[in-house]
Order: sequence, then C-alpha cells, then structure tokens
Amino acid sequence: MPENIKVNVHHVTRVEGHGNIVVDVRDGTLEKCELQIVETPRFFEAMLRGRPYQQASHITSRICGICAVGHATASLRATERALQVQLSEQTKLLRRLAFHGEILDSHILHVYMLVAPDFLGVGSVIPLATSHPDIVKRALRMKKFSGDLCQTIVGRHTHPIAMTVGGFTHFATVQELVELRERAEALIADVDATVELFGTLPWPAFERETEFIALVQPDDYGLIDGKIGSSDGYELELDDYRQVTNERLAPHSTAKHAAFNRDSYMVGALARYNLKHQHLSPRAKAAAAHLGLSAPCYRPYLNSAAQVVEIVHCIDDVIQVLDTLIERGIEREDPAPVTLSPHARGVGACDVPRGILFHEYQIGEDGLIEEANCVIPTGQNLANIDRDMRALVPSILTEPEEQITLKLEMLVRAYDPCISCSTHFLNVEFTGK
Amino acid sequence: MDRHPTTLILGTGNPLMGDDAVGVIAVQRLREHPALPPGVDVVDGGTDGLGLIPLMEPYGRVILVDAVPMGLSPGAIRRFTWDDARLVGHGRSLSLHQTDLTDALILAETLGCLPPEVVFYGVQPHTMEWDQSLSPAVERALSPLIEALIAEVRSES
Repeated sequence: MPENIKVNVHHVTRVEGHGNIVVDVRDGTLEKCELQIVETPRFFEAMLRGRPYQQASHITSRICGICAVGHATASLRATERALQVQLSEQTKLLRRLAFHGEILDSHILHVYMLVAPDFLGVGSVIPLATSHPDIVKRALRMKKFSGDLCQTIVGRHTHPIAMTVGGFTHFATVQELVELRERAEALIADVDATVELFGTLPWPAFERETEFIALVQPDDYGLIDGKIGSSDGYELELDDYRQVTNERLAPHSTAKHAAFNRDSYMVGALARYNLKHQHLSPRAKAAAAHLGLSAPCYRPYLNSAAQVVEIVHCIDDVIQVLDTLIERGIEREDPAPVTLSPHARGVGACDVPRGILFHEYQIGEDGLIEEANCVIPTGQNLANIDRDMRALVPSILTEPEEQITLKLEMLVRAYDPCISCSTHFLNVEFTGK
Repeated sequence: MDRHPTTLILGTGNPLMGDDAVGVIAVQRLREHPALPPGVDVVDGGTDGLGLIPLMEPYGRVILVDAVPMGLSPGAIRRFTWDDARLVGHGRSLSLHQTDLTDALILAETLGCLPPEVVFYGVQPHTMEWDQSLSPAVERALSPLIEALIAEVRSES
C-alpha cells in the first residue's frame, strides 16, 4: 500500500457549482479527507428582509435554476403557514403536478447526463451521444415532457411565474391536461427502458450506516408538507426543523453543515426511499426491486438508483393527479386570502430532488418580511459526504490514484449536490504523494 | 420528429448581464415588427442549454441571435453559419460564452437532430457585466440587426 497519497480534484465536474475533493494520506494515515465548498455565499435571506411577502417566492426561486419550483413551493408554504392561508384542493393538486415535473426534470438530468457517463465509460454526455445516441435521445424526450409539464402548470419551468401565495394566477385548460395525460402515458416505455438501463449498472458496493431524514406523511409518498421523519425513529413538526438541522460552520466549506442526533445525516432520494418506500406506486416498487434496492439501504451510490425509482413513481403519480383534475375540471379560482398579524412566523418544507428543503419567514403586520431562513438539502448532506469519503478512502488506498479519484467523484455526484444553492462546490485534491 | 417548414429565430442571453441581453431584446422587438413574415417563430431562449435541442429540432432553419465576443469593435454584427463556427475550432474560439448553447448545438449535431440550416447573428458586446442596460454601441446595433434578420427571413420565406 502506498504510504503517501494526495488527491486534489480542483473543481469536481458534472455537479452543479464549484467544489474540491481533498484527500491527504501520510505514512499510511488518512490525515485529511474533505469536500471543500468554495463558492461565495449568496445572502438570499438578507435580500428578503423588508420586502413584501408576495415577492418572496419569486426571489427565492432564483436560488436555483434546477429546483426553482421547489424553492418557490417551500417559500409559498412558509408564507402561507405564517399568514394562515387555507389552500384549495385544486391548488394542492396543481402544485403537486409542477413539483413532479421538476423532480422528473432534475432526476433525468442527473441520472442520464451526470451519472450514466461514469458507468458507461465516457467522460461526459457529448461522447455518450456518439456511443449511445438512443440513450441521450430518450433522456431529452423525457426532459422535454417534464419541462412542458411545468410550463403548462406554472407558466415556465425555471422560475415559475403562475404560483402565488394562496393559489395560482394562471390556469391550464382541461384540454392541455388531457394532452399532458396522453404524453405521460406514452412516456412509460421510456421510463421502463430507464429502469432496464440503470438495472444493468455495476453500482459500487460501499456502504456506511447513517441517519436518513425526509418529509413523511401517513399514507403518501408526499413531497410537500408533512412531518420531519428520521430513520432513527424520530418524528418532528416542521416548526421544530432547527432541532434537526443544527446548522454550523465548517472551516473548509462556505456552505454550513448540519447534524441531528449523530454527527451527520443524509437527505434526498435514498433517504426518502428508506423512510417511505411503502408508499411508492406498484411500478416504482417493482423498479426498486429490479435496481437492487431494499430498505434500509446504506449504499450512498444507490441514491441515483433511488432517483430512477422516483422517476417511475412521479410519472405514475402525474397520471393519477391528471386523471383527478380532468375529472374535476379546472376552476379559475382566486388565491385564498391571507390574515396579517404582528411578527407572524411560518415554516414551509418540501422534499425537492436533492432532499428536504426548509424556508422560514417572519412577516410583519404591514406584510413586509422581517426575517428569513432557508436550509438547503446539499448543505444538510455535506457532513455526511465527508464521513462517507473518510470511510471509503481506507478501503481503496491500494487502487491507482485515478481509480480513487473516480470513485470519490462518483460518490459526491451520487448525492447530486447543488453547490450554488448550498453556498452557500467540486474538485478532488489528493495532497501527499 | 417531423420537421415542419418554418424558421425559428432564437435569441439567447442573460438580460441581467449588460450586452449579453442583445439576443433577447432583439427577439422581443422582432415579435412586434410589422414586416415579420408568417411561418417564422420568434422565441426568447434565455440561458437555456439542453432544453434548446428539442426546441430547435422541428425547424428547417434556425437563426440564433446572441452576443458573441469576436474581437471586433463593440456593436459589430457578423452573420455566420454553424459550419463556420465549428471550422473556427468547435465553437470555442468564437467564445459563444454560453457554453451551454455550444454544448447543446454539438450534442444536437452528434444526435443528428440539428436543423439542416443553422445561422448565427453575432453581435460584438462591449461589456458583459451585471447591468440591465445595453452599452450605447450595442444599442445602436439593434436597428440594423433587426433589419438584417427581417431581410434574412424574407429572402427565403
């Protein structure tokens, strides 16, 4: 075994944002192993202070170009819970559709464009298009559907415009929903082919037992609202989220780290699968079995497999919700009213593609935001990624440095980190040889 | 997908980044232009990347309008084709600054779904910094740019 190893990936590729992986082994001892987050903080919370509550969802959707619907949804829920807004059933269903559109778009991009190239032996999606054009075309077809779904429901995918406090400002027609229903049904062949493809990939066997956190609801694989569930048996109200996240500074990261009862926890598709797999659609359950997932699963690389399972679930749920809406018809209803009161606080939470997301606002009687806090999934995963890397490295030290680097990069990518959002990230840096 | 015989004028760029907005502003003005012939779709592509592939695919001809640093004087307009762009080093030496757009075009070509005719109207930016207004030189280029685009689509439509 080599005595000294230095891995130094300065800016990890195929993740969103900038981060470095640094590993330093001296005299056979692992001295340093961390994911450094090097992006500048973005100060969205400070930006919200003093602004009217109606602007919050539109400003915070800009935190992320991928999870724009997710941030807008968490923001609206925080505002609505602060201002005692009761949502109509139609609003909940329409938001669920847009939310699924975004989960689909994000997961399809991640598993096909960012994860698959590692397993298919190509450096990026461009050579993948040469070696496996049908795979890339399928991914683009699926992505187009998810983008169009968002566009139909919320006006556009990136930075949704039609979602507002209490409801919607634009309504899709039943005819548009019928057309989406037909396209969703036609997409099932592509979804099945996706499960087949990812079922053939040699997922690394590495595992490390950890705590998983996700939103839980009694009878549903729900992604908006609910309670905060932990695989260690805890269940907390959304208002108590700070007891879970316990944000703290880490010297090597411009994004805060989080920890609940242990020194780290994991959020995202694998956490959701572990906590609520029983509520997946029958076809998604079959996909999980085909992909080798069984709960509890402690193999972080399989987070991407859990995303494939969620692609199946979301398509099934989209069809079901569309059926409900088509049967009910669409009512052009006004947004539900707000009740302003002094220093009203509200917490909104949803399980976005990368995991549980919290927004909390305090809104004054004048309707201006007095305080805001946003806790992003990637930030919550960072401590867990560091611990995974520290557990993984000693077991692969005898492998060539390129192999070590690749496995570390693949591990970080499996978490689908969104570094711009959390800096509030990726390069591997081996220091020591 | 079946191709339909229409033309797409696609303006791309970030309206918050100074002269990078030129493509987006040009398509906004083109939409209201009385001389715009039928059969031409005009779309603001913003800063989208891979999403542009399925958007462009159905068209026989795509005209991309964007700020392109070409080493010319600010506001200079250049018409070139995808073949020209690739010949000058796979798009890179033209610094289409929107690598996402370049990647999307390369990917579309690799997949065989790039429209048969891809034309660029590049405008040399003065600055691409945080700013919501165009530099005077690029502002002055808008009128001749729009006239050139109208002439381009009228010539064969």
